[in-house]
Formats: sequence, structure tokens, C-alpha cells
Amino acid sequence: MTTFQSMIADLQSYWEARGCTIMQPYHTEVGAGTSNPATLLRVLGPRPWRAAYVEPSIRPDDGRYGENPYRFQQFYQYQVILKPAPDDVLDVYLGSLAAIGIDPAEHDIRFVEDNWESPSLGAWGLGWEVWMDGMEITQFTYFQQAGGIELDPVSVELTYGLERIGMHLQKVRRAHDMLWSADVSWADVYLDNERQFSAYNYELADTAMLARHFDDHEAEAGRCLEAGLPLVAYDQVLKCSHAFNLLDSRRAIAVTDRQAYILRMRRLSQAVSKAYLAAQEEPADA
Amino acid sequence: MPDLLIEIGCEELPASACRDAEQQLPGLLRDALAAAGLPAQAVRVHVAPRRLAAIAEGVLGERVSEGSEQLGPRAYAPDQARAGFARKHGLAVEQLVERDGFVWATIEAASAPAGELVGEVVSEVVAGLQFAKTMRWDGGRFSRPVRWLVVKLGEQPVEVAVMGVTSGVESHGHRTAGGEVRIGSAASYLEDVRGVRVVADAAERRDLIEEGLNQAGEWIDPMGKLDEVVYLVEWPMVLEGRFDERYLQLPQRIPITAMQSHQRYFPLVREGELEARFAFVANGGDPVVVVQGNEEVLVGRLQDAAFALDKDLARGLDAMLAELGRVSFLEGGGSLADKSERVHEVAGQLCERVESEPGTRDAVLRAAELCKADIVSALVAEFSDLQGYAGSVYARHGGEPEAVCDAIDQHHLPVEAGGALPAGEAGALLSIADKADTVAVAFALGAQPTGSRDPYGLRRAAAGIVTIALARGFELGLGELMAASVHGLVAQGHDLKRKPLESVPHAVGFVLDRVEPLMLEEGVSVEEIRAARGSGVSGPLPLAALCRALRDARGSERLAELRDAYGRCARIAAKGAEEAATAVDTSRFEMDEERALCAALTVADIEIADAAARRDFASALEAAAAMVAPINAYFEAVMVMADDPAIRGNRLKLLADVASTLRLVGDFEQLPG
Repeated sequence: MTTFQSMIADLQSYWEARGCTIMQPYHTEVGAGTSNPATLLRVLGPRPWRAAYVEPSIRPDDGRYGENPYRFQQFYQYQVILKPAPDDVLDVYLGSLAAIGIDPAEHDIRFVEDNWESPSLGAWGLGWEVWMDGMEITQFTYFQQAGGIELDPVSVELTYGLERIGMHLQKVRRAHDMLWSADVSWADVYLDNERQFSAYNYELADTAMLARHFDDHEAEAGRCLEAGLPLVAYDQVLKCSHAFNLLDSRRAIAVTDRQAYILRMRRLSQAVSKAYLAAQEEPADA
Repeated sequence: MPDLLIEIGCEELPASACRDAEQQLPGLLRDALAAAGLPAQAVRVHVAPRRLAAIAEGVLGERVSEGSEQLGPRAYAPDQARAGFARKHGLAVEQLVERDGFVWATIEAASAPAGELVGEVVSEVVAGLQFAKTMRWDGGRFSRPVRWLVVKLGEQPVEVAVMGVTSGVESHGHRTAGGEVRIGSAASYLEDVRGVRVVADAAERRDLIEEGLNQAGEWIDPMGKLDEVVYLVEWPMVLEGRFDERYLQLPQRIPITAMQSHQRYFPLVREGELEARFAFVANGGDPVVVVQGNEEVLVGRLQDAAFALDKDLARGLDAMLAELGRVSFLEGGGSLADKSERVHEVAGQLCERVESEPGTRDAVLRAAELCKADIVSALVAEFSDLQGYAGSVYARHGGEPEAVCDAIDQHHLPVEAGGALPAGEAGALLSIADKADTVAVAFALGAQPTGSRDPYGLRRAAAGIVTIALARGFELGLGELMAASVHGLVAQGHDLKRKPLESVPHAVGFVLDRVEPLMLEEGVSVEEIRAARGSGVSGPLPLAALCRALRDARGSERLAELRDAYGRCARIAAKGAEEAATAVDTSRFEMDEERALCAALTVADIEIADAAARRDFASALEAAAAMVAPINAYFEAVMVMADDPAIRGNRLKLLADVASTLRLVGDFEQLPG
């Protein structure tokens, strides 16, 4: 039996063998592995970069109190970022499926057009959603722009939906029943978590505080940028983004304000990207 | 004479890119070959997700080396002109010849074997392909990355480099079940790739799929997915799956949408009733495994749908309505609650204008209040295609009259060009009011389409207004409807940052633009459309009627005379506009021809206005044509530019009035002479 953790371990060793630096999840909430600086900032500029990591994706508005079989306010992505994009990346990806016990010849694997855009990150790319027997298991994106900056070289991003793939491998209909380790299920690990965070995200989160936090983190990002610390500024942007997501799940963002919030985040991520890139272009320290 | 094969191997192309390439490749290849001096006897194209293959049959083995003669400047032209002409053709001035009063350049095409020229042909074909969306990678810019290239002239491989790849003789088969294959020649291409599990020809794949679907049973495809599925597979395999019968109790459009949207399955029916079975097209794999996987995905979607439906029914339409204030409509255009309020107002005005029955009006107004509520429903969050239909289900559940439910269901129609129109009058009226508000508000906020960018789908909305209005013979009064929307927007406290009604004429013009493609299809010429637009008619219905009248009159003697007579009046009136009197003074007439023209104008004014009001533009044209004789008589007898400025001003004003009356049936100067 492939447990959730052994599947992750297999992916880690597969991508490690293909030259990836195996990173760990970022330390603050992100909506997707893309927002981790190991992707969003590292794709900027000319320096090659290959990394893979598990990322908990925190999306307050997707919580269902643990009642929905496959929708949660926290789920796991496996993120691979390859810069520059290798010529044989699709076949290498198929190899990774084989590595976790999915024989691509036995299944109907399809690359179906899917394009990605994040207005608040000023980022977009073209690619596919990968289908296995009609189920979407991976997002595949050639990044064209990030932080409002045209990317050269182009990076390719693979984002595996780990719960879905794990459920398929274990032939279970609910994530709850999926074995995390040999004797611990997903529900053992996360069900209470889903219940409590859904309650907080929808019912309890202090919206006045969150709105203040957004303003504070935005201001702090500005100060960090002025001090020439784009990496620190980017953390502040991520904190703004999470505050925004919580405000949204609390239905506390008026129609007329939503766009303004998004624009504020986009301005910041563009400024951060520019500053990060400028720092990259300075001669490396001896 | 050998055949030329070009296979461009790509990572999986989107279906739309395949279709674009399929349309463009024949012309591109033919043109590129002709430009290289290598005309082909026939061209064919085979397109699949991972390959674009173009074949030219019977290509000359060598460039046709016929010289050609180019016409240059006149013989007496200055030396610079000659020098420039010679330079353009890569010749020295001394090589030019003179004949028949002109300078000529004789161009000799150098002979070259076809193989040497093919490289340029391939580059031109690849560079010439236009896709709606393109991406960059380290090799270039295309719909998706190009990964291999096969070019063969007859049996001979030709080496060409484009988009970061160099051509070889190896092609790639099915991604998981194929492998590599050596391509023999254009003639063997389809069979070569078939050996590695690829049906490269789209028409053949379509036949195979249809055959498989027919074997599965009576299949339906209301959302038109087959056209896409053909380009999502290289080795089509039609399979059949089942689901629990209890999902058949859902309102029918729900399971159909769960199958068709996103998953692209084909529902199976028996005697019009949905069965608990579906057919779908796979691209390979073990059938047992693939069917099982797809069944599980569908069950998940049906569960989601059933769960969402229950939740929505328990919540009810009123609770959804209460949430619309939180949902944004257009950036700066307020909420959906604001939009519903405006659509209600606009729909009321529209009902009055088309004099709809009180029953219809009541249904439209009630539906206007309710029609956006389902946007916040759980069902529409799962399946956006059910917008409208979901609302109608909830309205019915809430005890709303059937006419209201139908109008809610139909107000999204038509969803695409040529798509179904609202079947009922209430749905048609609500659809127009909704779309007119969207267009008017977007223009008022400066969010009109720019170039190919049309994020709010305004072209589709405008085309919807036009098609419904023409099909139903509605007189819209678009300007007033749209002004009502903009007034509503201002009254709701939205800052337009400009004069509120400034945008309305542009919004109306934008909708009228959508009449044009329909008229071209009906055989109206571009000039006739321009002439009709120049008349100032302000609704789709009169614009279409006038276009058709001008088309029907095309080539007639009377129309030619009318155009000339109008042109004389319009030109002189325009030239003397500053001198013209403010009104015609009959006491200043000196000649009978002036009086006759003025009298004819009075008659024409009434007759043209009457006929135009009846949308009888053939009669309006007749009434205008009756002015030709008095106009011509006038110009023979009357000296417009009289010495006395008062008389001159009076005459100019009369001609200006004549021109503006005639222009009501068309700006005739737009018509070809």
C-alpha cells in the first residue's frame, strides 16, 4: 500500500535524482506553492534554478468543516519548478507518475489546455491541467510573466494535487479514509484541524484586526523595500494576501473595495519583484 | 514530381490552436511554395494534438525560372525615380528598358533545386501561423513548444531549423503507447504514424469517434463538445460508463452539464429520456481502468451537484438575492444588486416601447428582480454553465409563475453567435435589457473593448441584442434604454469620472456595429452598410431594413441619379455651410425652380418620415428619388452662389435641407459611382 507519506517520499527522491533542490514548505501561509519565494521570486532573472517541495495550500474560503470528501481549507501541493524549462519535461513528468505507482500506459493521461493567471501577483502562464482517467491531477504551467516582469528564460511549474492522487492510489472515495502512514489516516491528522479552522475562517476571525493587519503589513513591506530587503518585503506581501483571504471568507470585503485590495497587492509584488531582480543583477559576492 | 511533407511536432496543442492551424496551413503552404517558385498541384493538412502536418503534392523539383517583367515609372520620370525603381529590384539603372512610354525591369529568377528552397518555405509556414494565444520558450513563440520537425521532399529528408529544432526523419507516436517512427515520405505519412498509434487526420478521427458513439447508443452533445474532443486525442477510443440511476431524478440539465462541461462526456438517451450511462472518448490506457476512473470522477461531480442543489433549495432564492449586494458586477459598476435594479428599470421601459402584453411585462419585471440571484448559488459555483437554469429551478421551487421561471432561464441566451435565442418574448426582452445595461455601463465606465481584448464579452452581448431584436422585430430605442442604465448608475452613487451621457452614442454605435456582419451575410455590400449607417438610423431594425432596401436598389438607374443629385446638394451645402441662412425664407425665392424644389422637399419630408416610421425603406427611397427631377432642374436654372448674400444664404440653406432629408435614406456618397 502506498501511504500518503511514502508517495511524497517517492516524489522527493524522483525529483532529487533529476537535480532538484528539495526544499521544505514556506513558513507563512500561502494560497499555493507558486507564492513560495522558491517559485515566485526564483523564476525572475537569468539564474538557473530547479527545486521541488511540498507546500500546504491555505485557502480559507475552501473550508467545508471537514464534511466534503475532497475540499479543505488546507491541502497539500507538490511543487516542482524548473528553470529553464527542459525540452523533455512532459516525459519526465510521466516518469514521476510511474515512480509513485501510476503506469501511464495503463491510464488515459491527457494534457488539456489550461492557462493560469494571478492578478494579485501580476503573473501568468500557459499550460495544461493533466487528466488521469478524467480526473485532474496536476497543473502544468510555462511561466511567462511574474511580478509584472517578462520571464527569460521561461520556467515550467508542475503542481501535483497530492490528496487527489493519494486517494486514487489507495482507491478511497474520501480523503478522510486515506492512510497517511501505515496506521494513521488523514482524518486522524487533519479532521479536527479542518473543523476548527473552518469555524475560525467563517465565523470567528476578527475582521477589524485583519483589516488593520493588511494595512500594517503593507506599510511594513514598503519600509522593507526602502531598506533594500525585498525578501523580507515579500513575506509582508504574503501576510497581506492571507489577511485578504480571511477577510474574504468572512465576507468582509465590500464589492467596491475588492479591486483596490488586489491592486495594492499587485503593486507590492511588482515592486518586490523589481527589487529582487535588481539585487540579482548586482555582481555576486565573492 | 515529388511531394513535400512538413510535420511540426509540438507539445499538446489546445483544440482551438489545432483548428486555427487546420484552417491556415493550406493557404500558408500554397503561398509559400508559390513565392519560392515551386507551385504544387494539391495541398492537404492533417492535424492532431501533437502534430501539424502539411503535405504539398506534385511540387516541381526545381524552381520555375521564368523571368518576369515589372512595370516602373513613366519614361519621362526624374532620374531619382528610375534609380529607386532599379534599386528595388536589385538592378543597375542601365539594366532597365523603355517600352510604350514606361520603364521596365526584367527580373530573372535564378534556377535552384527545390531542396534548397524548402527551408524558406518551412520557415514561412511556421512563422505565418497565427494563434489566439501564444507562449514563449527558449526555442521561440508558438501555441505550445515545438519539439521536433520532419521535412521530406519525396524520399529525401531536407534539413531545416525553426523554433530551436532541426528537422530529422524521426517522428513521435502516441505519448504513452507510441514511440518513435521513421517517416518514409508524404505518401506513407498517415500509415507511418498509425503504426505508432496516431490517427493524424482530424476528419478520420471524427469518423471513428462518431462511429464509436453510435455503437454506444443514442448520444447527445448539447454543448458542442465533439468539435473539441476530436483535437484532444490522437488514438480515439470510445468507452462507456455508468452512474447510479438516482441521479436521473435531478433536473435534467444538471446531470447533462455535469457530464458535458469540463469532462466532455456524451450523455446517452433513449426516446428523449436520459439514461444512467454515458459515452466518452479516451486517448488510450486499459479500458477497464479508464472507465472505472471516469465513472468515479462523474459520481463525484453528480454528488457535488446534488449536494449543491439541496443546499440551494434549502436556502431559497430570497436568501440568495440578499447576497447580491456583495457580489461585484463590473469594476466600478457596483454590485449585482445594483445591476438587477437597473435591468428592472430598463426592462420596464423596453416593455412599454414594444407594447408588450401586461402579462408578459409582469413576468419580465419579476424575472428582472430574480435573474441574477443564482450567481451566488452553490450549484452555479460548481457549474457556471447552469447560470439562468439554476435560477429558474429555484424560482419554480419558490412558487414563481412558469413565465417568470422561463424568462430567468432564457435571459442568458444566446450564449454564442448563432446559438439558440430565447424562446419566449419575456426571456427575449429580459435578455436585451440585461445586455443593454452591461454594454451601456461598461462604456460609461471606460471599460469598452480595446483591440482583441473584450474581458466582459461586450461584443457577444451586443450581437445578442441585435439578433434578438431582428428576429423578433423589436423597436428598441437603444439610446434611451442605455441612457436609463447610465442614469441608474449615477443615481446609485457610482462615480463615472466623466459626463454621464457622453458614452451613450458610442455604446449605441457599438451595438449597431454588430448588425454589419449579419448584413454582409445577407449580401449587403460594405458601401451600402456605410451609406445606411450614415443615415443616422439608431436601431438594429431600421438599420437592417435600410441596408436591405439599398441592396435591393443596387444597380438601378434611379439610385444612380439619386446618388448624383444628392452629391451635388451635399457638396455645395457643405462648402457654403458658413454662409447658409438659419432657415429657408420663401419670400426670397426668385425662380420657379426654387419654389418647385421647396415644394418637392415638403412632400418628400413627409413621405420619407412616414415610410421610415413603417420601416418601409423601399418607399422611402422612392420618395427620395422623386426629388431627383426638381434638383436637376434647379441646378440647370438657378445660380446658387448669387451676388446678394441674403439670396445666396437662402439658396444654400434650401440645398442643405434637401441633403439632410435625402440622407435619412442613406449617405449616398458612400455608394460606388
